[in-house]
Amino acid sequence: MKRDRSAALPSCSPLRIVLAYMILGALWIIFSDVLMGNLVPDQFLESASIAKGWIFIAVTALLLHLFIRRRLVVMAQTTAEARENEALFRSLFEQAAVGVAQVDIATGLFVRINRRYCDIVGYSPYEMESLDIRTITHPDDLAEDKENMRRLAAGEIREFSVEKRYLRKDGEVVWVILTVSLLYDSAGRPAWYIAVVENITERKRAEDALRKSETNFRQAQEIARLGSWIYEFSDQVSWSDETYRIYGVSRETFNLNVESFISLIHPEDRPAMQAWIKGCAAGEKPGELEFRAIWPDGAIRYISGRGELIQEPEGQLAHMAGTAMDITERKLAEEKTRQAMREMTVLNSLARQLAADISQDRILDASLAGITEIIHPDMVFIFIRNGEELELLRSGPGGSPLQHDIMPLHHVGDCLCGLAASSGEPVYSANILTDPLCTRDECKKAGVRSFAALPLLVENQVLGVIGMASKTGVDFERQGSFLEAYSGEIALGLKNALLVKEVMNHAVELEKEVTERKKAEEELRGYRDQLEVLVEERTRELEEAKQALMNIVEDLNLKTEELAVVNERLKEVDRLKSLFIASMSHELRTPLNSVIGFSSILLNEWIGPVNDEQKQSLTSIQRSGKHLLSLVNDVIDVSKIEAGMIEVDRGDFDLAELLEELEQTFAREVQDRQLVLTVQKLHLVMSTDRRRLLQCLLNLVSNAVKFTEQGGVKVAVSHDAEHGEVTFSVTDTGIGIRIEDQAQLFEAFSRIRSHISSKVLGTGLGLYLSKKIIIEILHGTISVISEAGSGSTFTMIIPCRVEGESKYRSQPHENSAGSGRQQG
Amino acid sequence: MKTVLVVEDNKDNLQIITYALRRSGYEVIAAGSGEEGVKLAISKRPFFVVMDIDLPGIDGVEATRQIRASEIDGSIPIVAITSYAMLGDRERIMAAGCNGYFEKPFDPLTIVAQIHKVIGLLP
Repeated sequence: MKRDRSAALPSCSPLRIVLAYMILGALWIIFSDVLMGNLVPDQFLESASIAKGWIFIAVTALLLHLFIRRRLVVMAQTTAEARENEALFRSLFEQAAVGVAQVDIATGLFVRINRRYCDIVGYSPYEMESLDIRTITHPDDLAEDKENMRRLAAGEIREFSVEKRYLRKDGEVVWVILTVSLLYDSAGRPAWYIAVVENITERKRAEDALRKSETNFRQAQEIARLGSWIYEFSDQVSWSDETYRIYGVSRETFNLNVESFISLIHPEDRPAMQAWIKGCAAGEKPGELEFRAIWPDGAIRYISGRGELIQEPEGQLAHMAGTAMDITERKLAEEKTRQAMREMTVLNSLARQLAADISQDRILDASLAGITEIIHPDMVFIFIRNGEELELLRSGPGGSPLQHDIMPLHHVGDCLCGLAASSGEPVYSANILTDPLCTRDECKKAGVRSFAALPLLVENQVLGVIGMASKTGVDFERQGSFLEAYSGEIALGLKNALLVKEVMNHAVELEKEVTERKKAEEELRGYRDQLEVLVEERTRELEEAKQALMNIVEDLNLKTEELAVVNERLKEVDRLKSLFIASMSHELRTPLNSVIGFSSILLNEWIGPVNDEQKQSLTSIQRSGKHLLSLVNDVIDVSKIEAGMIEVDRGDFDLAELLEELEQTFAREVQDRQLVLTVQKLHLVMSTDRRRLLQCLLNLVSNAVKFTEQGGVKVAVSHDAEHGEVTFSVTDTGIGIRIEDQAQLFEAFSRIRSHISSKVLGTGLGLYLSKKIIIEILHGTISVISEAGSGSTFTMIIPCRVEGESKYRSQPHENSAGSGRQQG
Repeated sequence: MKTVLVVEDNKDNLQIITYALRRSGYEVIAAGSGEEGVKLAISKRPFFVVMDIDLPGIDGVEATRQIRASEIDGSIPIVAITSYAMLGDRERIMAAGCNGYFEKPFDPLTIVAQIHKVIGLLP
């Protein structure tokens, strides 16, 4: 109840509450005393009164407590609310996206400032406290600031909002929107500024960028000569600055609408433009339109326009937008290029023609045509140089309305064409009437104004001149490069033509030569054919001969082979022969040695006395033995000689000794038979085979003695010193030899029939062997002179010296191998 | 009495030459082969040697060589007797060291004198 009472007085003033308390208190005191007096016995009155006092205090305390508590709660609530509000406010203050500050009007200092503000100006809150708002303002904005502040303070304005610049702590400039308003104190007086700043630096930058971009865009348009336009179907046309410029009008003075636009266009192109606009509006995309515009000053400009229908996204009315570009320069350039192409084409075709053509006439015609096609001169002249003269060979174009009596001959150096020829350089004249170089009148009379003369130059040689004239004063020099190239081509072509002419002349001469040569060749060919036939025959003969030769050679080869075989066989035969001789020699002689030896020993009574009868028998034996031996010797000798195994056994000896020996050999026999033997002695040293010489002499003397019955044998010896020969003659007085028998005399095994031959032992080999020995060994000759019945004379001619080595080596002892052989 | 060595395998020839040598006052010793001849020549040191070329075993040429090879001081005269008369035989015989050379058949009456002449002796 008490609580209720307190609660029931929420928004009472403190005074009223105190009054109410005092009243209630007074009432209590009054009534409680009364009550107490009535109710409470006296004994308890004192304690009751104390108790009442205490109760009073307790109630008061309780009331107080409640009240205070209430108050406190409210206070707490209020405080809480206030704190909440404070917090909210602070939060708002702090978190605001904008900078908020409270400035004391009087001091100009910042009282309160939020973080954002600090961020914007770049100072810390602490720094801001002592900062004057003016110090952070950009100097340029300071004045305005001051003014605004003053007006605000003066109450002229309630607030102001400006864009201004702050200077950050780091020196940067920030753009802000500053909104300042007043805050009144409790007395209703302006006490503070509330400043709200918004950082619009980015926005400013964007604005700048946009402006710059706009400027760039405008500039770009200007540079590109590209203007933009917008046409809204409310007949509103808007152009960019460049577009105005393109059309040569100014934004200020030109009233732009569709009609006025069309009026700017060249009359001939208007229909096309209107059709184009219609097409665009219909949503077609007609693309680019090229047309001409006429500037106010009459200049014609070429324009290229593009356009499109732009639909608004919300389905609003569409509009057209597009561009227009001044393409006058491009058009001009195109035209120039086209012209250059034409010139190129003409040059090329001329060059091609000249390359293919070698006729001077055709070259000149082609040149004329080409020049006319490109340059369109009123007159063209082509001169050919002949020494110091220029001969006009072509003039044109055909059908030129201009009359001209150009002299067919110019001198080199004379007038413009002559100058070109003499200098080798092109000569251009803009106006021949005023040009001192033009010395002739024909052109002037023909009404020509500008002229060009170009030399036809090849390797510094001027072949001619090409001149062109224009009545309208066309500037030929402008196309100088083309003209010079062209004249160069003509010159080349002419040069070729000239060369070709020379070559043709040579060719004609050559032809003549060739014809003659052909004739000569024909003749030669005839001869050659004949020769060939001969050669063929000879070759054939040669072939045959060769073939024959080959055959012979083959035969020869065969024969040679056979011969080789035969040779081998012969060698074999020889070997066998040697063997035969060797063995014969040994086999036959050995028994004979016994026969002759023993018979001799017995005969000489070495072994005892021998009676006469025995002696006879022994003598017979001995004689037979000796005879047999001589036969064997002869046979072996012949064999040796036939086998070619005899050599000269050369030795020096005294001929006289040999002759003595010869004589002694027959001394006994001759004495027995009562014959006379005369041997001439000659002292001479001979160098030959002594034994063989003796052998022959013995043979001859033996025959002589054999076949002489009476009379004697004479051996004559003579020396021919001049020829180095010795002649031996054995003459006998025997039976002689018949002429017909003399032929066979020296042949082997021929025995001549005579009454003696049966009595006489003979081998038939004697003379044969002697001849062989004399010829082969002694290198001499033998001959006979004889007649039947009148004896014979055998003559030997022997060289004193014979070649051939002595077969002996010198020995310390006597080296003559004394021959123990007995001769028969 | 001087001794002569006769190297000969043929009986008849040996007989004949022996007669001739004896007649001239020599004593004769005989060898029937080349080898025997060499041996006897070295051991007996004869006055001279009569060497037949055609011998069994080593021939007279070889025997001569061997005798010559064995001689240190003084050489015995050797005369060859042969019935060979081929080319080059003479050279071979003389080259072997023979003092002389005789062909068969020889005259027994004169052979010794001829030998004396060849070996430089006078009888």
